[in-house]
Amino acid sequence: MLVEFDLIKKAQGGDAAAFNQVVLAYRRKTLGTIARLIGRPEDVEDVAQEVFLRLYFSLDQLRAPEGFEAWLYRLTVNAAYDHLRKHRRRAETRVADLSEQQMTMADAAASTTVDRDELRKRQVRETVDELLSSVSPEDRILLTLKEVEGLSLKDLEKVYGANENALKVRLFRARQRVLKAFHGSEKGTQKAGVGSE
Amino acid sequence: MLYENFSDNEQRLDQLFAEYRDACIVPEPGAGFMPALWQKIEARQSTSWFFRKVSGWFVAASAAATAVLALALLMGPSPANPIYAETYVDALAADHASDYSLYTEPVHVDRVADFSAGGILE
Repeated sequence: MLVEFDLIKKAQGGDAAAFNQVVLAYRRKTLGTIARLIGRPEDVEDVAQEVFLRLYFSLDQLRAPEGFEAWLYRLTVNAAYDHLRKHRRRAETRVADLSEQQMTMADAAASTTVDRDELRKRQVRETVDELLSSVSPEDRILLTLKEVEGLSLKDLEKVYGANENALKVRLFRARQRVLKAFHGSEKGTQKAGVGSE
Repeated sequence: MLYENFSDNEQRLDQLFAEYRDACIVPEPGAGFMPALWQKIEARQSTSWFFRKVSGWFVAASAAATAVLALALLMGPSPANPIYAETYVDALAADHASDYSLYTEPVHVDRVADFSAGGILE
């Protein structure tokens, strides 16, 4: 916990200063989670504000302060899901085109005008974003929480309020779909590599 | 071969996810984060206050209308000849009687031409 239980209780009682402190304590962590869940840095702050807005109006429904972090995660997941559903976009880049894009990036890197490390990060972001677009927004969020955020099944059980086995099944299916898309993209890259030789 | 590829890809996918965590751009919270948040909270509070107020007016108005109608029913003159004074049995009997009164038999009428043709007039 990043804050004391007393502070949460005070915020629940309508103390604006206590609520401010809670937001300040969890702001950075929430921004990070949202950034990884939605993959669009330009929208992260708006979604984070929506999360804290929902927190403000639902804090009185929280029974025990011990469950605060799972509660906040749930609000984050819901806000991220709403955002993804609203802005569900067709990825501008297709898996098959990745090799071409990678080559363009490699050229850019060779020109030494762009930092290689930054280029690699951008490539990773775009690849994962593309792979995650092969599953539904719900599965994207679940998979990101498990694989990227590192939440355990117990944590996910608290966040979703769902049975561990049901979550396992859903995670397995989502991962298989992503893996299939990854396999396809790898094959596409290899083919493109052979073709260009 | 395919399974080998898949298990190889499993590991690479795990690695990719791990890299993704570090590669994601986490924007620094801007100076306007908290003021904007409080503005949104206040805006939503005022909206919900308005709806609460309007719904309160509707509840009060409907309660007043109910009270007025209840008073009008209680204090108004009772009808001298109530419409539904008869019993169920009376209503059934009346209905039965009207059935009988409406019962008609077909009337047999001979044509005038037949009379003349049959020689009755002759």
